[in-house]
Amino acid sequence: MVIMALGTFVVGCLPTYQQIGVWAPILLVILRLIQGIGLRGEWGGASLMVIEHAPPGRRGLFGSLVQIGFPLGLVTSSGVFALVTMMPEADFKLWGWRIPFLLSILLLGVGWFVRARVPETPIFEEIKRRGAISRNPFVEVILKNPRSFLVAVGLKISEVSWVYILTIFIVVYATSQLNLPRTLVLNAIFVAALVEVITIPFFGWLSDHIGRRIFYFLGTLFTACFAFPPFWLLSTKDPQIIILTVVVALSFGHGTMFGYSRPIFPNCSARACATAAHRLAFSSPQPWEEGFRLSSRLRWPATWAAPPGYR
Amino acid sequence: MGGTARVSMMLILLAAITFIATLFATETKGRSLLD
Repeated sequence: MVIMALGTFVVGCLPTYQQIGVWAPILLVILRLIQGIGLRGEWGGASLMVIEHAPPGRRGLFGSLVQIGFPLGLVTSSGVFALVTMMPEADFKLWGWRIPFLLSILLLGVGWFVRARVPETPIFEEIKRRGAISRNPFVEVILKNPRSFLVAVGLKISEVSWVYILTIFIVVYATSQLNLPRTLVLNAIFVAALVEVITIPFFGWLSDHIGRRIFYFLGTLFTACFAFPPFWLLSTKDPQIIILTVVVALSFGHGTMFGYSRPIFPNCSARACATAAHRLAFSSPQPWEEGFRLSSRLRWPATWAAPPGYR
Repeated sequence: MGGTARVSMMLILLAAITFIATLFATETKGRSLLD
């Protein structure tokens, strides 16, 4: 949490390309990688805390409540940036873009306050009572439970790549290749994120009643069948079709496999192994994701998503 | 369409990996986390 908050805060303090040259984007990439590591470390722990506190038979729903942080974060960041872009463009480019990043330091205080008051979970206390806590969960999960680890990572790969194609690649593609208005695509993502705030807990609730694996099967089938159509539908350049495309793609290609991902992770013989597998599965794709985000911005002509000082 | 076909193929490949991983995953609905 500290890594994530400080990493974001420092982005707001970075000197620009005009001030330090190529070191500006290099430092930005390093900070994005640090953010990724911090995010995934915290995310896994938060999911575990909620799920292990959840009543029996409701782990899917409770676990999904943690995951709506992703669409809520999209909505919040879009809203904050919409506010700061209301200032004169020259001021925004000069210093206004730093405000959302600097505000992230507030989250550190809130997070710390919450963390200090959350008791350890009953399941962890039970494991501790049994004396089954692993002394080295990382090594244990890799060496003793490689299958569980690989399954956990494999379960994440599709939805992780899908969501970044939708929220990063498609925006750059639509604006630079199809010449669609940036606001149209960003609004489509905004609406899709709002819808996902509802659909993620809905799929989590369904998973408590129907099962978890069926939604992973359906989600991967949807992703495979819907891999080409988004690009065809974007090329229609019809605003309603574009918004509907992003809403459907995000909820069914991401929400079906995202909301309750922790509960389906295979349990190891010791809880610590499951914890490590879960955290590694979440952690491993993140630096790749951040690299993908940045490479998307660098590869395509449009640089909408980079702070003005790095364009 | 250009380079988007390769992106779509990559998405299908990654979906296949998750599909295979799901085949090996254990259904945890109704199971204790202590199992």
